[in-house]
Amino acid sequence: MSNLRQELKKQIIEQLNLEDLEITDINDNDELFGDEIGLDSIDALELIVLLEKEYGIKITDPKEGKEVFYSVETMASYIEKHS
Amino acid sequence: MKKACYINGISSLSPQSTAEEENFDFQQIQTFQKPVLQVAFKNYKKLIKPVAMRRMSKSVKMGVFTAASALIDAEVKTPTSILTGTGMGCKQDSDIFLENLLLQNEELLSPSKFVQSTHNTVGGQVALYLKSKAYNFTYVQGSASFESALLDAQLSILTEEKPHQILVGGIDEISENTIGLLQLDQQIKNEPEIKNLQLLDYPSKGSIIGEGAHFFVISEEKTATSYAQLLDLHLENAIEVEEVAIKTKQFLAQNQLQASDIDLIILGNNGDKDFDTYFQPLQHEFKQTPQVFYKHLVGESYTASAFGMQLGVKILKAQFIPEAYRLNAIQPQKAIKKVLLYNQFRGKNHSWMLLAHV
Repeated sequence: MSNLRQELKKQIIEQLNLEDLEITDINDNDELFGDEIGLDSIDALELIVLLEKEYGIKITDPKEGKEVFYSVETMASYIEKHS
Repeated sequence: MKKACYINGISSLSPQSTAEEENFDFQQIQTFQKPVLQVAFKNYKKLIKPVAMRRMSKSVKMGVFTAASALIDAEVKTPTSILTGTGMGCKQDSDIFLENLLLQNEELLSPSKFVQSTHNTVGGQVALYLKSKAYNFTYVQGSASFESALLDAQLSILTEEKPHQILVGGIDEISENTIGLLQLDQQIKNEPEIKNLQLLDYPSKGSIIGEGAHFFVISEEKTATSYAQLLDLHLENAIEVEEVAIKTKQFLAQNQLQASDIDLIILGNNGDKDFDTYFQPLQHEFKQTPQVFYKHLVGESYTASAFGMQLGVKILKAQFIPEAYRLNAIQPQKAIKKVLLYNQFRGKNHSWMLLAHV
């Protein structure tokens, strides 16, 4: 597992206060907003802030956000492509 | 027939709660040797799912928990209104949000902390928890916040021709910033060690501070398990010490009562040498009446009077005055039927409440 994916999982857990989750509980391809992790719309806003604050990447198109935040894998790929 | 306000459910979280049990116990008194009394309760998962709790600050958890618990106590599933009173709102999240605002040059701020920092967050979260779209109002009136919410409840019941199950409560939490500011303003006593049970013996400025959440379910419908009746409530923003006894007599006269009809008086003494003078006229006027106080056990806060009301309600139900709360040594000579509460905060926001046994 790449360092970026590990780092993202740690940041997601911390930023979203997912106190009951460990890094090992999140698989790279788990659906973040589906049944597996269960994030909601406020979490989506937090992820937008996280991406900009930690990686300097701005998401301005809501449609794009839906794809980018699908999973840790999609987030990591997007960061690798844009940084 | 004139309508009445019955208190059918209560729940309280205060520094008198333990880590496991929310409601205060007359027999198990928590004692402190510090001027900041916090709520030690941890068992929120009894009523709140962990996934819902992850964004809740302490005041939100305390508020949602006591609101849900009061409804269970009253055997009510859906309230007709949710009325909250808070002096400082969600102070901890407000502090974090404002600190981040400065640190990050007003950019890239966490939306959760912003959402959670508004004063009406507790009322909103209670509604979300209950999936309630009922009338929902938050009163932010300093030390008259809880009383203002209670006044709304009373007026709703007395003036509206519909059934009510009103959830009304007071919530305030302590934050590190609040402690610093109150110390600067000498609102917190600065003795190196404060024994809370001897609070009135320290001849100094300020008091001890506390936090908590206290909810009631109020209805015009009397049930087999009703705790008490709220007979009346009166608020005055600013009065002089000399007016306290006169205003109290006027309030009682409006309810066709006189001082001798009161079986117990609950006062808001907090040991502040500058402002406890407001209570002295009533301590003198009611010297033959059992007197009780409570801020030595829960600390001062903008909504401390909500704890005082829970205390009055519990004493009426139990017909028992716990020793640790006594302000004088007078024993009740007959059943406790009428309880008068008087509170003020640093000479402002004077409130009188009248409770009756049911």
